Amino acid sequence: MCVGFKPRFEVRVRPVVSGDAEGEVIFVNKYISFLGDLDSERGILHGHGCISGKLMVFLGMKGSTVGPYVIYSLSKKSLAPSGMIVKEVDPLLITGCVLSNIPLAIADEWSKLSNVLQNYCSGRGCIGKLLCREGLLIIE
Amino acid sequence: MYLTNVEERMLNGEYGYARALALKVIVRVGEALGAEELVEISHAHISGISYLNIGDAGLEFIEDIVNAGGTAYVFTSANPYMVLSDFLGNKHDDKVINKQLRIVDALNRLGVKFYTCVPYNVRPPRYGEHLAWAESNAVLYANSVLGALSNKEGGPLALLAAITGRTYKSGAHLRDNRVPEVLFNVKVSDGVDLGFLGLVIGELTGSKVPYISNLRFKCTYELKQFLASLGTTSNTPMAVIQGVTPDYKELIRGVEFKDVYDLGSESIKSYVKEFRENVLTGNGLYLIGCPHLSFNELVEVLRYAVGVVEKGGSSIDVGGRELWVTTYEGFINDEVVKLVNKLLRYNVKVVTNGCAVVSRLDSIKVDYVVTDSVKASSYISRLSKIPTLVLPRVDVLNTYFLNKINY
Repeated sequence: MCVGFKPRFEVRVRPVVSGDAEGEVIFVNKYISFLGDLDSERGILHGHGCISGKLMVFLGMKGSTVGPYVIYSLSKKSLAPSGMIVKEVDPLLITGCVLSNIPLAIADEWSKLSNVLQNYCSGRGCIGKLLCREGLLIIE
Repeated sequence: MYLTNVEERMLNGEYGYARALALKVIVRVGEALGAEELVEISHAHISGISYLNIGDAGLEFIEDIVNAGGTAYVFTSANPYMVLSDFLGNKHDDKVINKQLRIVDALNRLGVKFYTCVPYNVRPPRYGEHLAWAESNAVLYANSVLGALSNKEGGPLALLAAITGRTYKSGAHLRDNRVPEVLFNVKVSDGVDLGFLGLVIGELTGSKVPYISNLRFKCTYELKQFLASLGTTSNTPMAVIQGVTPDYKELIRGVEFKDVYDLGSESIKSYVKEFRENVLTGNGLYLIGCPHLSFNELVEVLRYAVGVVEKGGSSIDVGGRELWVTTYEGFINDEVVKLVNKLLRYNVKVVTNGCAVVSRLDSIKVDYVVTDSVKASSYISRLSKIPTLVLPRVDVLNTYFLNKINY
């Protein structure tokens, strides 16, 4: 019997805002508007729950240019995610992450990453480690 | 990214914490967009300063960065903010007004010189000047009409550029990206509202730079309206316009257009229908000045209005309505004051530093808006969720004072 075996997946990422981050992975397979989709007073993403301290994996940011301010405000209240991994970056998301010191990376192997998150992590929860210097996202 | 000696030192904090943080954002964004270096700018123009748009999160950020020592490194202006005055006695909540005033106070401390969406009418940039402007109509005007170079800076980026005097060198700062890709051959009859044409071209061109040929503008007012509309439906920072853009001949030299559109008067019909067929009831705001009026436009509008009321006399009834004329504060001189004094009893207000679009007009009990601006109509109907009607400028005034609706 294989006791204690924990699958471990590695995905290459390109760091945009450097730093390391760790946390429960929250996977949102869509573009997020930080103004409309998020309760910034409580750090809750509508339909997905709390994002505070978690590693957010999502397609990218859309919509309002107020988005960077919302990320900044979350961070000041200690409600921000620990890190963000996206398929596409845009200037507003980078702005929000730099101002708030949140590590941000692009996952070029998006289909591999979303497969793991949908098939393996769904229902059981996964912990992610974003290691920007190594250009690596580790999912356990 | 290559950084100059000064930029390295700024990034390392020798110019203070706020400038270091601001430059870090600009460098990161620039790197992600493939920029190889920064560019020094001569003028930053900040948008997104209405409390009703940016809320507590925006207020908090602007105050924090200014309190951390963020001051303008170059000439800086900003967009107008929510209109603070009342509409027929209905005002915004005091708490909201106070928070707006806190934003303005912080921006004044940062060094903002004036608040208008037409910085090109106040401090027109010279040909070839690099800017970091964030207001879409102004960016289009600067690039397309004056030959200055600016991207449409999103969110807080223009504010950060103001603090550092720099932005990333990509997009419209590079000559290759100013070459048009889509050709529009325009043949419209006289009297067609070019504001509608701007919407159509904006939608068709998307984020590509259009080349617009055969379009004649009778005055800069038409040009402003056209570009403001174009910026409503498109992301492009510039349009190359035959006979208008200073270096249009060089920019189109050798270009073989794959996308070509022939646009006639009929191309705008569906828009005219959409913007001119609303049923209006209740209390109405008549709005002229989106984008803000230049000094000449302002005097022309006020003189026309005075002419109408002097002829109309006691038969004029503007009950349940107000006319707002929005412009830059510095254009209010003795002549303007004299003209405005003749119009005060007709609920006419010259509004400075303010913008109706970012004012949540429903909160001050405006039931409908009549305006000459397609841009204002488009945004107000979405943001304030009230019906709007677009008429030519003269007809906005005639309808307001004489109740003559010809549409």
